[in-house]
Amino acid sequence: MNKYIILIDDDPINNLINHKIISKIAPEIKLTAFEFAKEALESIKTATNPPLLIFLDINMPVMNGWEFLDEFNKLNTNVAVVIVSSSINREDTVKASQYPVITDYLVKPVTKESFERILKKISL
Amino acid sequence: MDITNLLVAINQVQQTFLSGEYDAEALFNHLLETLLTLTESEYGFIGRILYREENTPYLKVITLTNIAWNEETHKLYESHKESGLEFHNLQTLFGKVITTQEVVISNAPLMDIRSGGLPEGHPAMHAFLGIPLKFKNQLTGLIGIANRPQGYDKDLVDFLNPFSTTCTLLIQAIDAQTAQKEAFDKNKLFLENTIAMNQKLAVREEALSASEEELRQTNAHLLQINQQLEESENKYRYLFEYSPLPMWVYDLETLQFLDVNHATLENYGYTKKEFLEMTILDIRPQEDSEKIKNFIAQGLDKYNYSNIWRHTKKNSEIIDVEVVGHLIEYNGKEARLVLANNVSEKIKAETQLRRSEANLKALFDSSNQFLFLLNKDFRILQVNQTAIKGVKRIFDKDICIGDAILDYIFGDIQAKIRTSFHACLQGNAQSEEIQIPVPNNKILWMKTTCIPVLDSRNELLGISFSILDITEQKNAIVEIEKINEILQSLFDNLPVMVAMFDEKGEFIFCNQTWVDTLGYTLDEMKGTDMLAKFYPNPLEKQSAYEFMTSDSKEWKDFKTYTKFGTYIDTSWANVQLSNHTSIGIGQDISQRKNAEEKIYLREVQLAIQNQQLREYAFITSHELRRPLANILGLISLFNFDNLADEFNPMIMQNLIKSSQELDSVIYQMNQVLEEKQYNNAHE
Repeated sequence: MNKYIILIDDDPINNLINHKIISKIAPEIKLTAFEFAKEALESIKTATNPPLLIFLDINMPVMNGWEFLDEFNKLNTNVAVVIVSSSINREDTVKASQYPVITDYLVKPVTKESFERILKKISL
Repeated sequence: MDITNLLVAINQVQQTFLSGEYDAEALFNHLLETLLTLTESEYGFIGRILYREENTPYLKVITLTNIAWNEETHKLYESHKESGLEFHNLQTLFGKVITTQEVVISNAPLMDIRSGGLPEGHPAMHAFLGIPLKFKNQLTGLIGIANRPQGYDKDLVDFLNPFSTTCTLLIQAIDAQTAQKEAFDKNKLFLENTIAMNQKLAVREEALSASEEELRQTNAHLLQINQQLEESENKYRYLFEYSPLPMWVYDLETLQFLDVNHATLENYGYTKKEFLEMTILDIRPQEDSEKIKNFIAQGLDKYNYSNIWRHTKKNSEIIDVEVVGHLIEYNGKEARLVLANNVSEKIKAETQLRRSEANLKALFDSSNQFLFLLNKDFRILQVNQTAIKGVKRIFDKDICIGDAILDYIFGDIQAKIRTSFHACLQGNAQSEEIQIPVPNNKILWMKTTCIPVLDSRNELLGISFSILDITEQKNAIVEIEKINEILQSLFDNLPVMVAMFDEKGEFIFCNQTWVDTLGYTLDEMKGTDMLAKFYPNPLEKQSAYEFMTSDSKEWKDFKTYTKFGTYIDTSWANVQLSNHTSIGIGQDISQRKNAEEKIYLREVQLAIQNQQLREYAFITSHELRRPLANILGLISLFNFDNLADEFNPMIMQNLIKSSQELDSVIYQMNQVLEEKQYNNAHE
């Protein structure tokens, strides 16, 4: 079974950066990036193999990170979600703490060490 | 009017007449006096109707009220007296009675066309009643009375019927007795003449035939006199038969009734036949038999008054009767003529009167007022127990009947009460509130009332004087006045508007704050539609009216238009009182409203600013940090060790792109800030 991580962010530059860092520290893991959260949600629903982890941005057009989480929770999966946001606003971190599915909150730019810590946490 | 008094008067006159010892003029004087008293009339006369030769009737007065009140009336009275009190002019009200033989009632003689006016000196006449006296359908007399305060009517005429009958019978009886006496005198004279003539006969035999003729004529004359005597007796009998009071004759030995009159039959219910078979014991309760027998056995005077007896009617009803008797000889038997007057009603009335007097006395004594009845000299005729005990308690003095009331009062109070008494004697009730110093340096407040006491003819008898201790009420009033003063002061100094309205919305009271705030005084508001002035907008006025008439316990705000031409913010509450009045309490809340508006505006401004800050924080968190984070992330990927790294150009391109984006975001942020600053400055 292929191990993969989903990146959801409307910013292609950020997806590029994150792809590069994760490829370096865990080349065996495939990265699937979505610029629209709705597309990611559809993919997760239809996938036979659940992703190891989801990196989720908050501020996105059409469906933002919070709206995605509301729909994602309805799927009742064990997949952990890590918020990856440029926001350092306290309101966002407080709100994120209210979702049990969110295991971490990373502020962009995400460093190599941060990814290593996250991946270690999920025992990859 | 009391029928008993009327019957008693008739009874007295009949008794006097039956005694045989009477003066006809005095008898009629008494009758006229009684009539005037009974009918409350001012003056009057009783007369008989006589006829001149041409058969023209005229009035000859038997008795007339002495109307010599002043010089003119005195002259008139004397002039008529000299002419034998004969009145021939029939163009008068009494003349109308003579010509029509009917009752004449005139309650406005001055306006009455039947009246021929009054001769000079005649006293004023406000009302007149003339009653014809008829015997066997022939007018024989006339009663005339005048000036009854309430006027005359048919009921009075009916009431006086027994009186009129008695007058008629008396005139007839007196005439009969006079005729009898004259006949007796004539008889006596003729007997003397006869004796003289017989003597002459002895000495003048030659005149025998002539004397025989004279004797025959004398006998014829005697026969005529006997006829007159019989006629007189008939008239006398008429008085017995038709007396309005029961009369009978009984045998003193057997007590058997010998004769009874019509009134007896009517009053007792037996027929004459039944009566003549009974004794006087049969019309009495059995237990009274011995008493009446003893009364008769002790011997009776020729004329006696035998007090009150109980009689039994045929229907078993027992009545109280006042009996007067007269010893007579009746068909050769020793008998007693009795006149019986039913006084049951009188006794019943007297009993009721005594009971009523006892009740009044109890009421009089139990009153909480000091009550005195005073005579015209202000001496005490009656005093109640409350007054006796009160005066003893307060002044340690004993009140005695006959004392002058003013002797119990001193100083200014005495003068005040004396003035009240004198005003009362003029017919004016008086009331005073006086202060009486009593021992222990206390003051008692008393309310005194004097009311003139009048008799049935409106003549002053004395003064009803009452004293009521009103000290407690007075003290209470003083307390209430103090409280009122405090309340008025409180209302005027309250920092709220207070006004009181009656159930029609009319202003009764408003305090000074009301006047100062709204500009209108109480006088200006009375009779004015103030709601329309305070709330010129009809909808506002309606809303204020509904609030005023509701039971709402809440405060409600209104914009009220003042007399000063400005609107002020006011807040109102209503208090509904049990007597349908209500109190409106209001306050000028203009300053508070202004402060509240400022606070509200500040709150809105702060909310807007907070929103702006939130938006700014969002922009800095998301919009500004995104390209910056990208720049930082790209820099971390740039291969500084190998500048020719194949990814470096792409990283550089994205760095340029992110830097431009960052610049654009900073530019937008600056624009937003400038715009907010501009808006805030203008708000």
